Amino acid sequence: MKKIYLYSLIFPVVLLASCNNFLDEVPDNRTEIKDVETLAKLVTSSYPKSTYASLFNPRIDNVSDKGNGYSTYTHNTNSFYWRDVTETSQDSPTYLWNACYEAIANSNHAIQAAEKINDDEKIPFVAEAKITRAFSHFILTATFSQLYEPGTANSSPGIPYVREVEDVVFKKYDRRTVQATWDDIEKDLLEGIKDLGIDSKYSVPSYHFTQAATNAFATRFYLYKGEYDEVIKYASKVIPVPGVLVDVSETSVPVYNVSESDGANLWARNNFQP
Amino acid sequence: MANEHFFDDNTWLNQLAVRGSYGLMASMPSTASSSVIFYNMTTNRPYTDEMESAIYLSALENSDLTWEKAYVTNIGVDLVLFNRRLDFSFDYWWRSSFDLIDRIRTSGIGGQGTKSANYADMKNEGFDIAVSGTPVRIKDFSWRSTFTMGYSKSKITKAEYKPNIYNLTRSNGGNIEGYPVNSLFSIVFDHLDPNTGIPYFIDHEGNVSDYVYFQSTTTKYLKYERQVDPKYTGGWSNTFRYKNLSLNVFLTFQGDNKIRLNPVFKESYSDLDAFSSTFLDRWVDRGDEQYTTVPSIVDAMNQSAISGRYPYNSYNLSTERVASGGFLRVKTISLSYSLPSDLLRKSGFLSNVTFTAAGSNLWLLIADKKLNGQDPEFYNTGGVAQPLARQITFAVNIGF
Repeated sequence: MKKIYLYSLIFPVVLLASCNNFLDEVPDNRTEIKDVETLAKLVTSSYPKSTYASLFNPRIDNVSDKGNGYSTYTHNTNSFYWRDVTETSQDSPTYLWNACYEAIANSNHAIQAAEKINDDEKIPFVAEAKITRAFSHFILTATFSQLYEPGTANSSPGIPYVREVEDVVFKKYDRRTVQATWDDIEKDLLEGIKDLGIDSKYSVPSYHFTQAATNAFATRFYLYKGEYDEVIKYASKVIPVPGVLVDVSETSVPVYNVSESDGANLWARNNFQP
Repeated sequence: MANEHFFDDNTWLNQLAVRGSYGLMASMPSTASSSVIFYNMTTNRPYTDEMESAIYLSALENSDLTWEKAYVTNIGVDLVLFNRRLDFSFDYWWRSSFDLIDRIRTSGIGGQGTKSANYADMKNEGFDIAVSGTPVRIKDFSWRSTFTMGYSKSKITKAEYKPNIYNLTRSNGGNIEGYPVNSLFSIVFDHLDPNTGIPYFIDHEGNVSDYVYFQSTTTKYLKYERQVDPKYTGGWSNTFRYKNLSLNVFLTFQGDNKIRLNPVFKESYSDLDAFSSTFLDRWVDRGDEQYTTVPSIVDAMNQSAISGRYPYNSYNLSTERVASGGFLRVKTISLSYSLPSDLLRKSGFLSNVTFTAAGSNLWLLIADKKLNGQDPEFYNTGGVAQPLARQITFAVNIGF
């Protein structure tokens, strides 16, 4: 009789011990981020899928009278009068906010997943994810908080800088200050630029943060921040040989290089050469 | 209870049973996932040589999700009376659901603007009645009748998600706190323009306008019609048997709901969609607005004037385009005749021969006249589904 108790104790232990590997397998063909290829694909989605241009154009002088009878979208009217936009659809502030934080969540999932990938080829994609994270936060803080004022404390509220993956329904976030937000953006940007690597790692480089695009973003960041030595440093990396002007004023014709003998070109060559 | 000795004396009660239950039920809905979800996609880009495959985050991990729960109370009575001529059963039930999963708007900072969470509450109650009996049973004739009816009502007691105007006015109805599940709302129709016959409404800001912004979550200017699902449903089946002839008549009914009429109004029509007889009552000339609420068919000039304002879409979702969903329908009638058994026995090899004529979905006895031929049981199918077809079948059943 005692043996029965013994066996009934041993049996589930043996049975369950062998379950562990089996239960660790996922039951379906779900997409998981477990190698450099999937990591690179996830980082491809970490760019915000929204634009701020349609948000700001009605607030500045870039508006024109389109006539009566087309007032379908009240965000144009509301933006023009600097009223709060209540819509949440595309081209609204809410949409931009959600799209940027969605992009940030993609970056964060990529960075988190990369910790478990043992392959040095991941390094440039982690760098790309950090740059996209910095870029999305930069768009958010430039839109939703006070701009950075060099030489002041910048103590007005910034925007929450998200570095971790959210896994509960409601998580508390802290806006902190503009200064803290910009420090975090700078940190991610510099870490990213360091490891970015060559452009040919991307299958379609023009839709990613290439060396030139990243340096252009850094130029813009420091221009907003008022650190002009840094602006020149990064701008020189985007256009190593200055003095070539491109005419973009006439949008109906293809963009072309301005003639070498053009007055503006000559002036640029004489004044911008290092 | 019928076995208790204080029922010993009476002769009309054959059986009496009382049932009751109370319990906590939990269910796991299939619509929400607690793990992180990634999907594969091809990027949206202008040229094919610029496209690349990507993986995007479709839903964040949601470790707070748990079971949906409900306290269910049920009381029922079963009665068998009059020498087992009458069966009666009645159930009343209450259900108080909580921790229901619904979508909720978040701050968006985690990367998902709306999420699923266990926070919605709902109350339901209702009853079911089933009566069946044999009122007449004489030598060659019998009449057996069965009546069933169900009643249920619901109320969403807590739901934070704010539906927009379109969510609440479309034919399936929408869910909003304080109202039943699948409640149908309407944009309030105001008048027809005396010069053009274009409809005007109370818009999302409470003004009279030909333009209603469907995405607006200001829904207080809408009119609550009723829930889309009927509160009462039931059927009544009667079988008359005279010698070898048997006739079955089955009626079904439902009531206390509103349904949205088909969206027949547009700014322009083609050969395929200009046939609704509703157009016969339309606004044609000045003054007609005093007699009709059916808007005009717009000419090209007015069509361009209302471009982007969609008054005809609003009209399809307005108070003018709802009908009562209640009806009484003759669902089936079947008549069958079996050959007498002594005749079959003579043949030596046939065990039964039955001739049957049956018709289904024969008549809609009572229904709202506004339906104009539309089937009240098929209100939310969108225009691709066929209504219930009227069928008549003849059958011969031979058994050897």
